[in-house]
Amino acid sequence: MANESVPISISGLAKTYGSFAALKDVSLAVGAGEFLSVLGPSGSGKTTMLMMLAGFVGADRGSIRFGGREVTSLAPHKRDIGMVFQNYALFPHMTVGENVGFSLRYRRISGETASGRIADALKMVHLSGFEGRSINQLSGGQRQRVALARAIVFNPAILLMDEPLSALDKKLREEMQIELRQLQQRLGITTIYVTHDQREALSMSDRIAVMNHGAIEQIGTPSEIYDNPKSLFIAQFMGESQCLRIRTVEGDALLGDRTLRTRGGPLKFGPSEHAFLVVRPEKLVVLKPGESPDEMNVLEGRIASSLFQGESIVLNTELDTGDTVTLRIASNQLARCSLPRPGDRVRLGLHSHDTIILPD
Amino acid sequence: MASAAPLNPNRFWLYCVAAAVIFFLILPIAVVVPVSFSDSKYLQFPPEAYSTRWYESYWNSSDWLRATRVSLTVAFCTVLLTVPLGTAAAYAMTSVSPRAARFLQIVLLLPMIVPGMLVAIGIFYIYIRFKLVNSLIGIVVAHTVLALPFAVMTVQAALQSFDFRQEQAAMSLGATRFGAFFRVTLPQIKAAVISSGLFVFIISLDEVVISLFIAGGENTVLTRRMFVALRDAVDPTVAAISTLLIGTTLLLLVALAVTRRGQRG
Ligand SMILES: Nc1ncnc2c1ncn2[C@@H]1O[C@H](COP(=O)(O)OP(=O)(O)OP(=O)(O)O)[C@@H](O)[C@H]1O
Ligand SMILES: [Mg+2]
Repeated sequence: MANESVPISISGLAKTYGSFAALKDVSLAVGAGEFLSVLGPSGSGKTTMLMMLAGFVGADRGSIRFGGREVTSLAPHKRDIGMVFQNYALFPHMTVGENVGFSLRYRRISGETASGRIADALKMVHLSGFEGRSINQLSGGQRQRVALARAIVFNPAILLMDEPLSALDKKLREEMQIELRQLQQRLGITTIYVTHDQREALSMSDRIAVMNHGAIEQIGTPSEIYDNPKSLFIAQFMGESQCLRIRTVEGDALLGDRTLRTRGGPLKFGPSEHAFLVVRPEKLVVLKPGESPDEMNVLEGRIASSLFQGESIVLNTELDTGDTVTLRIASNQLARCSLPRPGDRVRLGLHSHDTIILPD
Repeated sequence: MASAAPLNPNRFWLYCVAAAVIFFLILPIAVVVPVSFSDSKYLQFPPEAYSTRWYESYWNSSDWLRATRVSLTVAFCTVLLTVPLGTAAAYAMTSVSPRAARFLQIVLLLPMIVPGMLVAIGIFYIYIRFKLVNSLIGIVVAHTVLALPFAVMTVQAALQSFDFRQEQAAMSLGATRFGAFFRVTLPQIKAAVISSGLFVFIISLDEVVISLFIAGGENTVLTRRMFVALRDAVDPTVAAISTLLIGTTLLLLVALAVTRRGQRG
């Protein structure tokens, strides 16, 4: 029932506040019907970019196109975008039905047709029959749904959301993530979704754009971003990464005096340049004595402490090189039986495919 | 709301001061109202005999009635001019930069800071040049200048707690900026706008100083007419009119309190 979904293309978009560049030369293409998450630290320009797409913030340079339509300087009310705000921005002086139906009068839809559309939208967010309720009588989750219904009732081709779930508690948030994603796929609506929550971005998105200092640092599928970070910033921003300083000699990466096996073959670093080995806690395994598989890098050390966390056990290990690494192992019977204790010497394995080397 | 606490003997002096303040605030009313019902030809307190003759004298004087009509017309027009201006100014201050807002704030509050007599003299000289002295428009404009700060502050207070993302939401849904203001913002600050209107009405109705300079002749307002009446001869009709003015103002204040309550609830 949605309009033909349209791609979004942004090129060279920039915005400066005084002397502060909030957005620097951002280019981005979002496919029709795609769900793109925008992640990034606070102040990295996520909201600024979204507000420019919506037309509330003017661009200093660059252009925005929705499908074939150039919208860079189009007024917000002509852009035909559904928007969901962090605090929902519902109209408290109107009922749920009036909130959801707000956009319809501007599209000359009234009477029975309008009520039908409102009912359909409320049904999609599981709030059938809520038309007459007042906004003040709704729970946080229900408000969120009303905001969503209000944003999709007029079949916009594009949906923009700025941290729409951040005000909900964890359980409700996870429920809404699934619902939102299903609804988005059913409607095939091109979506840009700003979030602080990397887990949310990883589980919901077709692709993720990670922003830093007003620029897009990396864009890719969730697994590309997570497993193949292009920079130390991305590696540290996604997941619980630990960065160990290494030396590079003639294309080889050296941790202590050991050469690391990597997925990509010889490194493209100059001689004796500093670089980092990025290790994620869940990628490390405890090797059995004597075991040393070909495709694994072996890190030797001593267990400093172990921490039980319910679904997993965290082991802090002091490596012989002086670095410390943390590994996370699933908390099951098999693992528990062979669990090393604090003080034990261990040999840790890191698969060459999980061995990420990044320049400083 | 504090519930009625028992009197605290340590606060004896505080109670004395409070009682004195209340006494002096109420005193003029307590004198004027009985005097207005006096039967005497002079301002006499306490009156020896009571009658409503001074109310009749007011009602039968075309002079007084015309002044009343002028005062009400001026107050009404001042409301019509001040409320939209004040609302627009308060709104504008939320959407310009903080520096510009501070500047606007000071300019808008100037009539409140500058002594009334100075404002009156300034306006008088300008009006002579533009031939606006004693004209209805002139009085309305002058009263607007005087009342604007109050209107702005009242609406500003309401806008402070308004979430402007609602306007963005409305625009994303298809409303123009004007449409968003009228359908989303205005309904939510309605009570403040109405109470600013009542406030402005009271200010205009009770205004004396500027009116003394520029509201004479054809368009003599009630307050000026009263002043003149007291200067020329001691006329208890003035007490009757004062009582009527006090009554009107009290009614408006009650209405103000009711809209304020509605706004909060
Ligand atoms: N109107 C403005 N005037 C001046 N600076 C602004 C303005 N709006 C945003 N900025 C600045 O631009 C930068 C980017 O802001 P933005 O709101 O886009 O960040 P964000 O990525 O959404 O952050 P968060 O995750 O905290 O929401 C911030 O440093 C902010 O201070
Ligand atoms: Mg933001």
